[in-house]
Amino acid sequence: MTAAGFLLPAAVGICLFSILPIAQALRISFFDYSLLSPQQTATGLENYERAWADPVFQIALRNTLLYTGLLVCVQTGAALALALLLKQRVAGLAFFRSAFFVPVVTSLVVVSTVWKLMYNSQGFLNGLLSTLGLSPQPFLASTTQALPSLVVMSVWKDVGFYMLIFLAGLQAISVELYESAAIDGTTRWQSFTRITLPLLRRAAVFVVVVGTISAFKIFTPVYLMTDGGPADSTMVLVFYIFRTAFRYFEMGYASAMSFILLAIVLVLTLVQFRLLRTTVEY
Amino acid sequence: MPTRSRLQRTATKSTLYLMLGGLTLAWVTPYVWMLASSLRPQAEIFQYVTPLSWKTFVPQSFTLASYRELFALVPFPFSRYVFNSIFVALSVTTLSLIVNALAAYAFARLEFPGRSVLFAVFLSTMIVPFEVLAIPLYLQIRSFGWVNTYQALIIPWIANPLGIFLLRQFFQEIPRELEEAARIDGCSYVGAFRHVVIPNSIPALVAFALIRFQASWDAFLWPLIAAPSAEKRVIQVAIASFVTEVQTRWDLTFAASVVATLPVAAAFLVLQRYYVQGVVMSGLKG
Repeated sequence: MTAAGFLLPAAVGICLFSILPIAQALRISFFDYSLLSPQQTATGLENYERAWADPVFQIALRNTLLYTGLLVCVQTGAALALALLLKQRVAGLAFFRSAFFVPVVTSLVVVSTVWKLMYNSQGFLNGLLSTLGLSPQPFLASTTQALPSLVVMSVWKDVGFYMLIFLAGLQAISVELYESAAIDGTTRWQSFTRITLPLLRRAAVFVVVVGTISAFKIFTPVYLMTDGGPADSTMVLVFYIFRTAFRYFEMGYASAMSFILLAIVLVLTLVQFRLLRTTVEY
Repeated sequence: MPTRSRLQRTATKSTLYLMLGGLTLAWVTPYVWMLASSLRPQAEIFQYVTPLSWKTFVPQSFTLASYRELFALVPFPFSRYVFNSIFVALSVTTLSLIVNALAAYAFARLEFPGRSVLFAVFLSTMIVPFEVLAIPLYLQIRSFGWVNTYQALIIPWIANPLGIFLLRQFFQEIPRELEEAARIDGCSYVGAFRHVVIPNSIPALVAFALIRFQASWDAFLWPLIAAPSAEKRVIQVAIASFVTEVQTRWDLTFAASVVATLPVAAAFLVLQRYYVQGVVMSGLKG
């Protein structure tokens, strides 16, 4: 059968490296399974109960929510503002667009590394602050500033991507709508709130939901810049899962926490589909 | 009052360019600082940061020493990690183009029982983020004996449901008549795929290839878990090891960051058109 030939390689790949591992992980999340000891014992829901009661897990969950909430608000607003700026028939559009987009195609490892040094006590940002006559800040070394510092870096890295989505959304709005609105005597602010915003809804939902899901999975900046600290102030879910699995080798517990993460992501994805289905048509 | 409105418009335009200029500066400065720091001796890196001046961005004793040292490191020079990254990214890109285009074609054109169910199953695996998959996938490749091998870095990333979805959309828009003509001329399905579908899908294939290459080049969590040994280390893991293990050699770290950034940034600038299309494609249709 021809179709089978065309499909076989992809099907084998998806089964072997996606479906089977997920099934396997679900199984071991109900086991006390450590790479350090050969025996696995079934423990029912114990791993999930442990997560529920684990203070570090709770801190990680709270930090992840805080990071995600802050990032998505700032990033969505900034991306929309940038897209609207670039929509103003700017000369050199391609140049500005590229400038904002280069961090999107720079690896997160490089971005985290450079920003870690920018946030350093003698780094670029403190140089800038003292040149402006302001007092130096501890940034990553402070329990209150570390998480917001990660948010600022993430906005800098990803805003170009979301800006592009908004730009595509803006370009899809027909000019005639604005023209007929102008004939009807609407102000610019009215045409922005009554035409632009409602028609950008689909793009906005995408930006918010994709932004939320990807923020939830933050790992690399924490691994490279803060190691979860200071004092667990940047401890986030994926980093805690990674540490449990690959520093303490507790695969069962780490798998259970992965499934809690998956449950959260699933809920967010369902919300996305729900919101995307109701789009405004003009 | 036409003059006043013209004045107003000029003012608005100037404000606009001032804002854009300032923002662009904030986006470009970290790159300039990275490049400048990689071209100066270690001792100079933080020396001219306070107060900020042109000296912050122009090396006072220009040197390529950090690059020379980087490419002469023992046990492996940095070129080893560059090679590993290029080899892995090219393999993933090539194999993933072939495998996913074939599957996408089957879903777009061939009739077979259970087609929509299978398609739904493929797509549903997209919902599971890699971060959830990392642990079971590690156990899987460990049971294959693949830890610290190229297979571990390449093979799990070939089949890609998002790619199948995007290419299927694109293939469906190719007029059926083109293929039917080829079939009447005696082409097999494989022949029609090669001679009609592929040549008509170049923009989509390039966009997908770029997305895959970049994803592989930037990947960090998986290679960190699956191939941490120095021999199979990829460029991102190597840079991370400078940051977390070596710690004090910021000159080497900056030089390595430049090496990891340049090829992708250059490819992006050359192929921007396809890339932007890919982003919009995966953004609005995905």
